[in-house]
Amino acid sequence: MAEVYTPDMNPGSSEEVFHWVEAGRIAPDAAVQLLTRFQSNGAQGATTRRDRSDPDRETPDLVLEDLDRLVGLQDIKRIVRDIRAFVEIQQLRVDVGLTRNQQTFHMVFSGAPGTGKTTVARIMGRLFKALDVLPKGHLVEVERADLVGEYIGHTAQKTREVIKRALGGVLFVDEAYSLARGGEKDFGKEAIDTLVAAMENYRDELLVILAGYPDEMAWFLNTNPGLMSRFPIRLEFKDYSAVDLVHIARRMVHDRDYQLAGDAEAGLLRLLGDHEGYWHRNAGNARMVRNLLEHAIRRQAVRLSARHTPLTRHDLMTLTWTDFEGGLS
Amino acid sequence: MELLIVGKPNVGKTLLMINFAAYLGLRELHLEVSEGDGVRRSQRLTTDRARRDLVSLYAPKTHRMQTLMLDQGLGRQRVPWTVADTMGIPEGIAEEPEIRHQVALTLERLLRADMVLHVLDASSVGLRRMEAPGPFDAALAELGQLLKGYLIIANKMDKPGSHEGLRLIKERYRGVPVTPVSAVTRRGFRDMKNWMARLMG
Repeated sequence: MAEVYTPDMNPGSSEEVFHWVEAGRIAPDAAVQLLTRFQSNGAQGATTRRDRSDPDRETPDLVLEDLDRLVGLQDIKRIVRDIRAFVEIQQLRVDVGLTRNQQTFHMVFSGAPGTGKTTVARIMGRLFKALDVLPKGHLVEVERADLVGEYIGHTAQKTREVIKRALGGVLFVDEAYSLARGGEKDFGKEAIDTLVAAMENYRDELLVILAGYPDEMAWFLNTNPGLMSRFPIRLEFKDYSAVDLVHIARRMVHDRDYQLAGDAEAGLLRLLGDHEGYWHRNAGNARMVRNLLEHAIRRQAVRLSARHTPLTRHDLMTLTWTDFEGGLS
Repeated sequence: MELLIVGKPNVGKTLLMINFAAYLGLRELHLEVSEGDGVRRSQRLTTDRARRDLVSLYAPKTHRMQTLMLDQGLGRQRVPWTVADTMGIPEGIAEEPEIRHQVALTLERLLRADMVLHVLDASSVGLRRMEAPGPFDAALAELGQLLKGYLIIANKMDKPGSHEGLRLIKERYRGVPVTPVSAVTRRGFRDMKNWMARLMG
């Protein structure tokens, strides 16, 4: 039976509608209805033009609000705003008939683990979708093992499959430097080459973000000069300061329906402040805070269950410094 | 220039193409049929032969898109043009992948075509038959308004009940140009030809 056309079907382009027909997701009449929307939106031949009037669409402002909600990352917030302004002005230029400045937005994110790289990458995808640069804006997160194969020819095939999944969105390669680690004979090189080729072929459909530790990423880009020019945007994710981390902790605690007692906050600040600038390199910053909290939550449960007096709502919510003490090893 | 013929199964698209070609004076049809796997078969056959081989009275026979190549246009420029005859589009989601593929192909081609003939069976309006106009036709009439050249062909005007059908079609798709045609008796071919010549400039 014919599936009824539902408003939550929001194809990004007429191509997507054709795919849905082919896949048996929609009946011909629904497909024609969807195509009508594209046709009425653009001028002639604008069949690939995306539906701008779609009410469910995120606006760039909304996406940036989410970005602003992240703690710290001041430089990154500024650069993202610059990118947005650039894209919007380019679109206005095209609208009045000026030439478009072809620019690629492939990026390198360097920073320690837990400094917000993946989170920002996800927001980038949404932003580019909202700005009409990427059709889908989803994030595909991969690492060396997802790209590099085991025998000759396997790598290109594996990499291409990953790229196919990421088309229309963001391909986030974590610890990208490991692709160059094995030397000349390593298959990692093949993965890089395939990736670079895809970046050229799907210029308007793929955003590649390479991520990793700052030192290793710098080395990686230096080993391969061609890469440098292909990734014009570099974002550095600095380690969070102790104050930022306490801020993050407060927010995480809040999300979990707990609260920090005054002494806990002061203690945390002292503890994190002592370590500032000397993180164990795998400490993971925000992730470390999360582990600390989870540990504290467990200790709090032990502490409360040992008590014989009745427990109030306040007791159940509050994490005190005793719950944290000794948590960071 | 491309003219695309689209419609439900068994409304008479292929016969319309063949007889219209004959009306234009063609003795031999040069057809290109795209098989699966990207293979294109080119064939030449006489109009009589085509009528016998490509058309059936009872069951839909066109399973693949076939393109008729024409050397001379109808406009002043006389540029070569093509007529794409498509598989009938069934209502609902088809079970067979091949049919869905053809539907997708047709829709894609539809958006690119310079002229679209949307064929309806005037003799089956309101009947519970495969060829009766349905939701797909209603949707296509909407889309047609936004296309460059779009014309509804009320076909089978030689059959009983078609006059009542034509009236209902005109009522249902108000504001859309409808041309009554009979592919069998060639009624309305002149109107069709004039319409095309106008669009070809």
